[in-house]
Amino acid sequence: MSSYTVGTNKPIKLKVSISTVGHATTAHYLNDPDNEGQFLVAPSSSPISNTDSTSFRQINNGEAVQGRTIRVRTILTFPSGIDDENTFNRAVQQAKNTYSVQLSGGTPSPESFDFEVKSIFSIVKVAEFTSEITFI
Amino acid sequence: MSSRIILILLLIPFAAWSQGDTNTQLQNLAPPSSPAFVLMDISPSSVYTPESLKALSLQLLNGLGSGSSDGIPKNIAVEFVPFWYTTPKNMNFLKYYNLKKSDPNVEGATGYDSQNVFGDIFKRASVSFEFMENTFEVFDSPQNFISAGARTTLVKVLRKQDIQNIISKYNNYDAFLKKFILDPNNSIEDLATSEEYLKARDDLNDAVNMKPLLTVDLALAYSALLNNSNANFSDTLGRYGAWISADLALGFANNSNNYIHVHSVARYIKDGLNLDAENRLFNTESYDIGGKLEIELNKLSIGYEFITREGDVDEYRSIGTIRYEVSKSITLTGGFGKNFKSEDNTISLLGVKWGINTGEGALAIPGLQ
Repeated sequence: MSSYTVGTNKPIKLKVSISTVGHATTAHYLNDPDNEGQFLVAPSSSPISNTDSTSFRQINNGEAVQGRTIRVRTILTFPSGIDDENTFNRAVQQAKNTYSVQLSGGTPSPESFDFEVKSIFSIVKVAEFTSEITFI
Repeated sequence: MSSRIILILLLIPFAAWSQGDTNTQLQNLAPPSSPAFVLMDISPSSVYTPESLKALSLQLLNGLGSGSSDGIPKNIAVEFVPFWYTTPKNMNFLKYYNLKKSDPNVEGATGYDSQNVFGDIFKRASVSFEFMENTFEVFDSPQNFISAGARTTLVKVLRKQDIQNIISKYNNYDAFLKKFILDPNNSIEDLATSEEYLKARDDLNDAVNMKPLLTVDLALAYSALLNNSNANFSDTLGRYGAWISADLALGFANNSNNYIHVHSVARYIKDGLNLDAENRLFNTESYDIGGKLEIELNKLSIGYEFITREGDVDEYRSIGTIRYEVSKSITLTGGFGKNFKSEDNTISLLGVKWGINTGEGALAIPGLQ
């Protein structure tokens, strides 16, 4: 898990970008301190796909987020054009090479963060990119 | 001995790639349509449309009664697509299928309402290396050739209604995943059991795989005779050529899987596989022009092609071709008729396309379970 120094700054903004032949859908969740830290979809956030425009978008309605944790999740699917596992692995690698999670509004601004990748080649061809960042 | 060495060299990339992946022995075999096979007239068809966009594939072709009595294919190719080894910038699913925005200010998928007809030039480009053994109607015994080839799609034109259908199906697919990801407890494993997801995916897959109205493909190939100590043929250049082919696909019977294809092909060949009266090889230059009419009925395709060769030689090739998709794992291809340089009907070729890996388990052959 990464951390990002934000103090009482607001708004904090998130930008996720990816270049891939597949379809990528991204959402972010914030943990709920009143509910054992369970992640819930962030207020007023709507998922974006990689055919939507990429830009910094404020999180938590622009309110302060110090002490909370954000989970950024991108589901990458290949609805067509990938028939074999070798090509699938190449396509996921292309996406990994271009995937970027950035936050702005804290120190430094903007800042890029690490991510993990899990992929499944089965009746579905899907990969999942996740990052968790604690705001301090 | 030399053939075995070349065969091993050709297989090195395939073997190296397959390490660590125990399920890839069959899934990357592809139909025998690489440029060098076509150049040497040993492919079932001289007119083809590139099908495979696999990062790496292995192609095999066995000619019936053509020196393959031990059952080991004598004609083998490794083909790869460079695009998969690059990092494309600003790529997305719709751009990959050559859709673009006529107005860049329109947000979302709906803005992708036009097409880049030249968008496949790099994405579909492939490079191949082949090893083949054949008499080519010139030698008394089969000789070994090594070849290199490249091909791509120069132009692909989609129908306007097909573009609209892609966007419609894409929006359905996109909406499902945006709903799916809103629940943090939904895992990607759940997609495999979601009928709603699988339907949206299959609908989108069908939409982007509609036959284009027109495709124009370009290929280049060079083949050289490997030095054979039993014959003094080492001075020959082998054969090289460049050709362009077009496919006009007309749907009929209101069925999305039925097409009449009108193919045309033009080809330049410099051929060193000619013997004079004193058994010496000499070169010829020739130009091929021809076409093919093919009827595609769901899984069965039947066609006839006629190609004339003019220049230093005057020949023709008249071939009937057939292709049948037995299952998603196996496709049979064949060609029967008169080849260039043949005095009679001598072509009888069969190729098998093995096992596209769908991740659904072992290769299944209907009727053999």
